[in-house]
Amino acid sequence: MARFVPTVLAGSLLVVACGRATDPSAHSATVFAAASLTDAFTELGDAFLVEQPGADLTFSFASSADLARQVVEGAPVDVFASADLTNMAKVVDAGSASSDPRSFATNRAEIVVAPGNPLDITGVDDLTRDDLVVVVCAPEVPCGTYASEVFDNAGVEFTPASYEANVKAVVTKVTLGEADAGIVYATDVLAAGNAVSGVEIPSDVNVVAEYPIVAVSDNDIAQAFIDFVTGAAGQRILAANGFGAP
Amino acid sequence: MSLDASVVVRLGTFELDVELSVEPGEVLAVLGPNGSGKSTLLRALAGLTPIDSGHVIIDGTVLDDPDTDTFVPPERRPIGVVFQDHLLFAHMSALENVAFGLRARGVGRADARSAASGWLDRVGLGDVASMRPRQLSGGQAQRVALARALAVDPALLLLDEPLAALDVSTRQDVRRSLRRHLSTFDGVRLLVTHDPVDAYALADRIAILEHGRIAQTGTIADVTAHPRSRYVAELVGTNLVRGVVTDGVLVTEAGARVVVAAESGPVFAVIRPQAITLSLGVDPNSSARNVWSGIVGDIDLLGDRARVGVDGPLPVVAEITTASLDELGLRPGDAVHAALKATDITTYPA
Amino acid sequence: MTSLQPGRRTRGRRQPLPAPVFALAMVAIAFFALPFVGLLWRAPWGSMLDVLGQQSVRTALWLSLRTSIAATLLAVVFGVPLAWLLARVPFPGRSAVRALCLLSMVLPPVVGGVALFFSFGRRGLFGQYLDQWFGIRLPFTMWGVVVAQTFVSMPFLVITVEAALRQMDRRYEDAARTLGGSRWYVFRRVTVPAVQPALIAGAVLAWARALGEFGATITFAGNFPGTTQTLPLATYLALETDPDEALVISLLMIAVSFAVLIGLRDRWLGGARAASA
Repeated sequence: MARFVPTVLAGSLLVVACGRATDPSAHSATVFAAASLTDAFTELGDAFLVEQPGADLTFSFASSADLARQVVEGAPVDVFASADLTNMAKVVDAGSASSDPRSFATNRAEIVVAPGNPLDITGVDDLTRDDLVVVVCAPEVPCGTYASEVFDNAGVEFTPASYEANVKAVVTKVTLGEADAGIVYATDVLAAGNAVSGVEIPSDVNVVAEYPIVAVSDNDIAQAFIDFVTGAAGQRILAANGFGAP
Repeated sequence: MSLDASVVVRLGTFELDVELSVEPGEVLAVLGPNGSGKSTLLRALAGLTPIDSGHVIIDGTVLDDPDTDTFVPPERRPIGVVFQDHLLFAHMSALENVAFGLRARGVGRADARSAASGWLDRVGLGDVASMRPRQLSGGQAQRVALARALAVDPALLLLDEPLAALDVSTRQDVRRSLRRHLSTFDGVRLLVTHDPVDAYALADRIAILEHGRIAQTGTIADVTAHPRSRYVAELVGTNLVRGVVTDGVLVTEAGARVVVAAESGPVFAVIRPQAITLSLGVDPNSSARNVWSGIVGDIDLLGDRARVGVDGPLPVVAEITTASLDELGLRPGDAVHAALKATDITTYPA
Repeated sequence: MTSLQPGRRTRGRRQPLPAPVFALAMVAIAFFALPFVGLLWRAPWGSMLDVLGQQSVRTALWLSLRTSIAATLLAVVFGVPLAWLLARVPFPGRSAVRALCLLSMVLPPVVGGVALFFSFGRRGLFGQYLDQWFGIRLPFTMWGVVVAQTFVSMPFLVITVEAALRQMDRRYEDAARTLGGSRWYVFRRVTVPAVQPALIAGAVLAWARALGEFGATITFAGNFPGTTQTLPLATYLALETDPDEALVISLLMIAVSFAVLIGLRDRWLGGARAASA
């Protein structure tokens, strides 16, 4: 019995260590991308693999702020795509980028509502109505800063019911009917399909979100992917997902 | 105040089936070995365990009667119980413990405390009123428990082996004070114990409880003079033989034959240990009508006397002087002869 | 053959631990201590007071204290009777019911939040009726936070109190009943005091769990300063933009919890030993 416990412990540690072994092969890359890029980058990834069979891509989607922090703390990632310039700057300033960032897409904000817009929301002003439960992203994440910019542009004082941790959480709250409306990206409204409807925000009030991408490591596949994203095929896919040109 | 109880309780394979009554003014002790059902009986009388059949009636009030679906829960019975381990509430002072029953019955705080104070004085513990149970000695705690039970003015006072948890010297003191308090209490008093000394000291009548049945009841004198079970015989320290007498010969179930001076019929026979003589050889000229051989069993030395167990078809305990024991040089396992006069045997109908 | 020669004298009462056991214990202590040491080392001591003075921090602290205390009270009011039922009343399916009540203790908190969301959210199975019939909405309100916290913390109280109820000497309750105490009176004046150390320990555990609750809160109640943004949520979001603030809030939570645990440790959690002090 006295031998049993140490053996089990040693064995488990071994298993864990093996699972964690970093693959030194140059055929795989890890990509951190903003939550709003979920659908687009998944499609881009599939298309990239058709062009480069034998490559292996792993994606991780979260708020750009979250991801930026992890990159700075030294997460083993090869590519970082952010939803705004501020978070990219964090990564560059920390010296984690291995090249200069390139903008590859733009996005705009849009109001997301229940399908068919049953509550007749027409614009940003309507979001201050007492009968509505409205959620937006927390100011600490890009879509949150964009949202407050929109409200500033419209000259509207706004207090939401909740500040969500990332843009997909806002979409979820609206799709599930917990919230009546929220401010997300136009691409999110498109991605949610029939589960939601969108209300456009006029350009004079709206923001232009600039999306930069950068290589974090010297990985060849990483660079190839970035080239793909900024290339013709990648841009077509981004456009199909509702993104604007960089 | 009287108690009339017929209690049948089945717990698993054990069955308690007793009938007893306590007349006004008398203290009944239920005496029995461990496992005889004493606690079950007490719990049934207190209402902590409902009976399966029978009835429990105090002063004409039915407390438990399965036939008529009547059951009064313990908290509404006019009872007071003194437990073996006193069971004083550890987080309350002695005074609060004694006042507990009154407070539970709705008496106001001030009134309850002053009544409790009176009771503590009566048991001679007025000065420990503010102490916690763990600060009291065993004897003090038991007396507080008595005060607590008496404070609610019960019609039936039940005592569950009240002295068992005390050491010998404390037991004597508490027994004495218990005797005093019991005599001034005018309700029904029923004591459950395994110690015959408690029964002798505190009770007027005893009931012997064995294996869930009452083996015999009667006054102490009655029961000790005419035991009807081995348990009582052992308590009293005498030998008991049971059998059928035919033509002056008692035949036991084991087949032993004892010559007695008695009428025919089923009898109990009491043989005092002091009446048995032991010898290594057989004396052919003795007048003793009963002579048999056996093997020495356990030997207990009690000062200048020794109790020698003799195993055989008629197992008995003989009492001889230690000097004789030494002279005979008896050890367990030795062969020995026992002799007994027929006139030294007391018989009574079974 | 054991030597009879006297070795070094270990005075009286202290039993020395075998060396391997002692070493493992030291590793365990280090495991717990090092993260806190790391926090203290990187703490911005200079700007500590400024951060603590920030409105957002004070609001989150006040909200956290109010909701965690409310959750603990609810846990006691509903948890003690539940513990009593599980400990004392044999009924068919009791083990299943117990497992159900303790489930949220072993589930990831987010799962608890998701479950609450789909049952008590505005369109939830029960939430929709709460909304339509009574106008009661839990998400995005402080009471939503309390519900989420109670959901994850109550099992700690239930499990502690149930164990104590099972272990207590029930003859004291018998004695109380023979003295005339109704079942409620006995419960109040004998049973509950008898399990008091366990009750307090369970309440402290529940409170600590409620204070630290994050996953269920952010999923079910949302995140809004002053209403639903508790200290853990504030910490998580602060980490995105202002790690110093996150650090300071973390230290604040540690200090509060530490103080409570130290303060209550010997007096109430010591059980029999403390009671005889």
